[in-house]
Amino acid sequence: MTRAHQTRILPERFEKTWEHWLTGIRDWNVSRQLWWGHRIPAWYCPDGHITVSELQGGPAACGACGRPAADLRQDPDIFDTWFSSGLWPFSTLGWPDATSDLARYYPGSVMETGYDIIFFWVARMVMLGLALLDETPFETVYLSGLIRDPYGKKMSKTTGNVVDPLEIIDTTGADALRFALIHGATPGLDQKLSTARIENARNFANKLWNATRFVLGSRPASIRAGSPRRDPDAAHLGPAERWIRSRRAATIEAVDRAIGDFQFAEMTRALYQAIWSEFCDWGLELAKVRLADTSLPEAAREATWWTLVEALDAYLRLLHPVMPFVTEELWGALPRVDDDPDLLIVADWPAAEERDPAIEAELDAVIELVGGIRNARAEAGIPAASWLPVHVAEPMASGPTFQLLHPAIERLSRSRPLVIGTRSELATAAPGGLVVIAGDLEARIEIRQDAGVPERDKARLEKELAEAEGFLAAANARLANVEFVAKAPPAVVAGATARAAELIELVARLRARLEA
Amino acid sequence: MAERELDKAYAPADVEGVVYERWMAADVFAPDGAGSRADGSKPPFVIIQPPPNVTGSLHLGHAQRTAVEDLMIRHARMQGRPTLYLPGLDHASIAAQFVLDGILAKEGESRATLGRDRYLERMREFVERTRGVILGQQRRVGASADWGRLRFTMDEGSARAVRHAFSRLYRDGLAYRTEALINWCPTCRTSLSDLEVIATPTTGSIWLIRYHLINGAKGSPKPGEWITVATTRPETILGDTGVAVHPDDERYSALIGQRVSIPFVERDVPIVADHVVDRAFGTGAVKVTPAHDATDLDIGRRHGLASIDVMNDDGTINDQGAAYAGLDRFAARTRILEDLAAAGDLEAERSHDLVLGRCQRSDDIVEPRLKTQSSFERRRSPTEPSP
Repeated sequence: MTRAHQTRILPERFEKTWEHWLTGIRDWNVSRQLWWGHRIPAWYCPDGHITVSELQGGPAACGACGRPAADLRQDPDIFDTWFSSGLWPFSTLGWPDATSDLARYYPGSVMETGYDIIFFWVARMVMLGLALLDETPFETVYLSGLIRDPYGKKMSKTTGNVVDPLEIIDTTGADALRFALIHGATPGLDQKLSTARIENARNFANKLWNATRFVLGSRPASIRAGSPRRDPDAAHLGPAERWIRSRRAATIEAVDRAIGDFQFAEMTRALYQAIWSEFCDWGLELAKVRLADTSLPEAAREATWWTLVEALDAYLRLLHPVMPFVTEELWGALPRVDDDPDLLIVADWPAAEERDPAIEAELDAVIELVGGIRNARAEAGIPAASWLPVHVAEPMASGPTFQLLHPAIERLSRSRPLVIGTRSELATAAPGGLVVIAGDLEARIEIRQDAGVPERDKARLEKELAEAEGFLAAANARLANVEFVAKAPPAVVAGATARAAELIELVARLRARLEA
Repeated sequence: MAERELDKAYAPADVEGVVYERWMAADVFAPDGAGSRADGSKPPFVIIQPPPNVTGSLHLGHAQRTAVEDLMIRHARMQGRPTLYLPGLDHASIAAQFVLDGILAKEGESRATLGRDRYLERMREFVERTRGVILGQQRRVGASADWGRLRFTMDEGSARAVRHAFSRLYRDGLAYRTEALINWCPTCRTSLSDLEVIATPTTGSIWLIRYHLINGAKGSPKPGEWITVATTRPETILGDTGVAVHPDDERYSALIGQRVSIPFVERDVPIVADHVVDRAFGTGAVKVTPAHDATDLDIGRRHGLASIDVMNDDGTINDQGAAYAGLDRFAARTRILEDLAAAGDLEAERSHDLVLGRCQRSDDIVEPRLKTQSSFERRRSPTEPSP
């Protein structure tokens, strides 16, 4: 272990090259016969003596023989530019003076730079930091990759594929550019940047904007405009609200872990998924039904609204480091608590929260069912707007969740009436209807027997069966692998076993439907 | 606090500038700014920004770096850590000169016509313009940097740090001045570090050339007696101060200690025996040019041979080069080969794979040259074991 190894290098595979360079180095010639740079502070006297001086105007006399300054000639050379850059981590903090900045902020936390200059620069900063301050200048080196064009070509003026960041900012906004760049950022790896990725990031910003506008616009009349943010009343939380809160906790956990591991691309993926695919696609849709349900007590609708505000507040905080502008603007429009500052940039990072695994599992099933009904209808060519009667077999173990979400499921799957019964009742209900198998839940969609529908539905079920059989084969192969069973963590093996059991059940049920 | 109304559609251009101004006005970027909510009991989080070169505008790579750094900074700031994001600019010595030289060339000027003071004046004007562009771009990307602590690698603080560092390293014996073989770029007209030289494999030639033996006493050539040397750089013949063979090479054992005449410059030099010579290379006899080759410099030092630099800074042959003085090194190579052929002293030319050093900046072929340089000893610092 050498002192240069007190610095952690990301990605770790660069530590090998680093080691190689540090052990195989030649002396560093720093003289440059250029003009633009720091002149070497060495003065020569006609008798051949060298006087090195740190005084701004040079030495008063030759250090060896005392000849006056007028007889001395300064070295015409300047330093290699990497010499002053090598002092950068501490010269910026006031070194060589013992400033309070130097005491407080040296060594730095992270040095983020391109992997192409690890030796030119990073190694020299470490070398000079150790030689002059006896301490490595940073804890972690994060090496970024290069940005390449969509075809993987290096951007260069000669190729003519250089993209000006300001042009992207002008057309799509800085947040979209930042999101796209971070989304593709893996330490030490180059990334291809496409217009599609930037547009996707811009759509994400728009989605967030519209979601916030929707939430602000759906405030129940019983809550006064400008009210400070309140925690939702726990006594009035429905399954959807509990799910939104649990997923918020899960996202905080995922983002914290990603940042801790310097996996910033993973951070953007977690947030994109949580905000768009969960909160907007399902959270807001489920909440809409409850907010519009005047049969519910006022307190229940208020709890729904405060749940949305609470989730949005957390998501804006979590997304702020990636998309600072739009999050700042939107957060400024949300209700706040007294402890909150005026600006998101200095607001508190969300604290970790307890998750609710039971409600997450139940809502997963509901989401799968609604998705399954939508998919079956679409494949059968049923117009999206039409309402159809649906029979659902409620799983034995389910609590009140399904009943409580009845109005939402009905609305989101265009199922009317939505009849809930047992599995045996289902067998006789809606003969010839579309069959939907979603996890533990099973549904029948009543349809008029138009020509072609049964064939299309059979084709869909066959496709689903083939898919399930494929997954099952893969799961069995994995479990048959002695290596895997012996070496994988027990929890992983247990998970794979459970998954295989689920698939066996699913295949059996799909086969049964097809044969009926 | 009253909530703001949101426009129907998101227009980044209407929001970003206003939001950035709001942050600036609130003084929230600096760890000790008026709007900071940092908790002094928490560990600071510090990123000293890699200073972008002042040579032009920022590209996407810069934008990505800024985005990643700013992400970490904003996260730490929201955690309540005293968070410092210190921005800066790099004077980019050789890169900046390369750019400015290009601009000057279009005006019919050069480093030589302007002289040091006026050249540096032009450089400061150039840097002043690019500086504004670069800082503006970083703000557009959203960098929440502490602009009050902005630094430049050529400001007085950096100059002091450089002087102090060099003085200390010199005093401690880690910096020294010595005559050493350096990598010279004739286009940039400076020496380069090894890292700035790109090793480029290429197919070139190896030429076999006759050096005539001379009578020790009379100093006149012995007619019909020669030693054939192999070289890939015939232009350096002008700086040859010896011929070397392997001491165990029986083909040449009788010639060791004899003298030969260097073509064109008619320099009388010895044939020396040195273990470093590769008997399988060419004819097994090599010319020795201590001022232009690292191995030759070592041989020269072991055998007391002089070092003669035959090149000007721009890559032309200097007045050591007899009739070839003033010619570019490659024109000189061609002429020398023609003249050797005419004299019947060019025995053969063979194809040969070699590795050329090229300047990272200009792509010019780098020439090894002997110069007095300041250097830092590397071995003693970073790999020293932990105490």
